[in-house]
Amino acid sequence: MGVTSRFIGTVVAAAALLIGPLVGDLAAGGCMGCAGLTNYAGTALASCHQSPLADWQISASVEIESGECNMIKDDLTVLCDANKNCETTVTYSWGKEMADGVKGIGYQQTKPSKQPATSIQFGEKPPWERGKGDSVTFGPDAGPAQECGRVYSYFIEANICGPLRASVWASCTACGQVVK
Amino acid sequence: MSSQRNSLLAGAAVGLACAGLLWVSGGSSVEASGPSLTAPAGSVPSGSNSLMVLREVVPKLHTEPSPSAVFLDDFFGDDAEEVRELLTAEGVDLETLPLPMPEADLMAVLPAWLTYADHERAAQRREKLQWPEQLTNEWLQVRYGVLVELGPQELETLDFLAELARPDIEVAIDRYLDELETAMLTEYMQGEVLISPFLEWPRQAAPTASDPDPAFYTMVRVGQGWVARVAVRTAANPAALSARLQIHEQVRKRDQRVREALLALQ
Repeated sequence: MGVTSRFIGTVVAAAALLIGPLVGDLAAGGCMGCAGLTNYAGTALASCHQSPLADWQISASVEIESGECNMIKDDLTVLCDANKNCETTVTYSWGKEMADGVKGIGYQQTKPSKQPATSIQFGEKPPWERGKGDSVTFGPDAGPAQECGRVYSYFIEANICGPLRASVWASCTACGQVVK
Repeated sequence: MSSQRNSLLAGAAVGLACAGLLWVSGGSSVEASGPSLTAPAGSVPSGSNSLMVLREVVPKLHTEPSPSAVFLDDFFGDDAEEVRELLTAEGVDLETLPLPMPEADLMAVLPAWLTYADHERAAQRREKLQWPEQLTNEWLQVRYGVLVELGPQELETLDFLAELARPDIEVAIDRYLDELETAMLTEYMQGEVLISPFLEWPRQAAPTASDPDPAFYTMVRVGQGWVARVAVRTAANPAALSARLQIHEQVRKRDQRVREALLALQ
């Protein structure tokens, strides 16, 4: 862990030198210095070619940032508050040819233990309408709290001549680390 | 790998066809060197009907791999069998699955896939604006941590204050989304957008703490038989991160004005 911290610290220090404007932001209380926040594209399944316009059919995206890190900073140390969760904004999208085929959207904790998926409920009127592409976005107030070390998978599933799925992982892995 | 599989299929078809010939020529019971094939009395057709049975059985057994199966073999090479197993586990039948869009066509439209649809921008604006469509005391309490019981006119005043700040916030949001699009297109031009037919490949491990250059934004587009993945990384995209901080700054300014007004109204 110590090695990891030093490694991340080195990278962050190098990144801070490369990206000048952010140094000022760090001093202003931004949280970019607490790097190690990360997310990857997750899994996907695509079933068939349908549209003459060659549009994408479903999509998921996620951005992640730490919360207010409550930073303490001197010449050598940037300390982030381990009790502050990271924040994610997730966007699920579907194209117009998919409106009838969307089965659902939701998220699932995959680490430290795999939990049952939570489907987002829209009541009697889900937002997908025939022939109309659309998106829904959820911010930190609506999504699961990104506590350090947890990994979530955000997914949209559909069916059009076979199953389709797009999912993205998001994880907050280094919040609260001391970066030297 | 593909030709080996075809040979096996062809061999099996010939063997079963021979068994069928013995069956239709030998009457209702055929003794062969292997397991016996026994048909119930009266169930086996005779004469020209026998040939019809043969015609029906043989083509079904000796089918060519579907275009999608051939495409999969060609694209994935040594990994084809693993991909095939993953697809089977997902309930995908390659024999009936239409071909993905040609790769050259995908590459032509991929830059457009890496830009936001109008509805995506609208959804992002709604979320990042951090202001409700209908302002309520409950929302104010959650957002600002103050217990208030304002009347409709006072709520309208606060709404008006927020409305004044909206253009600056939306400009900041659009600038951020523009920067993300630029970053994604840069990834495309550098060959860093991962594309694969049928499912994502190569498989990616879940995030770890040791990623030296973490992504802060990722997007997966799925369509026309293809998966496209792109990640926008922290160190390489200071402009996008700076633009995101501008959103925070504009929202902070609005919230400051609203807080001051709340104090005055209380």
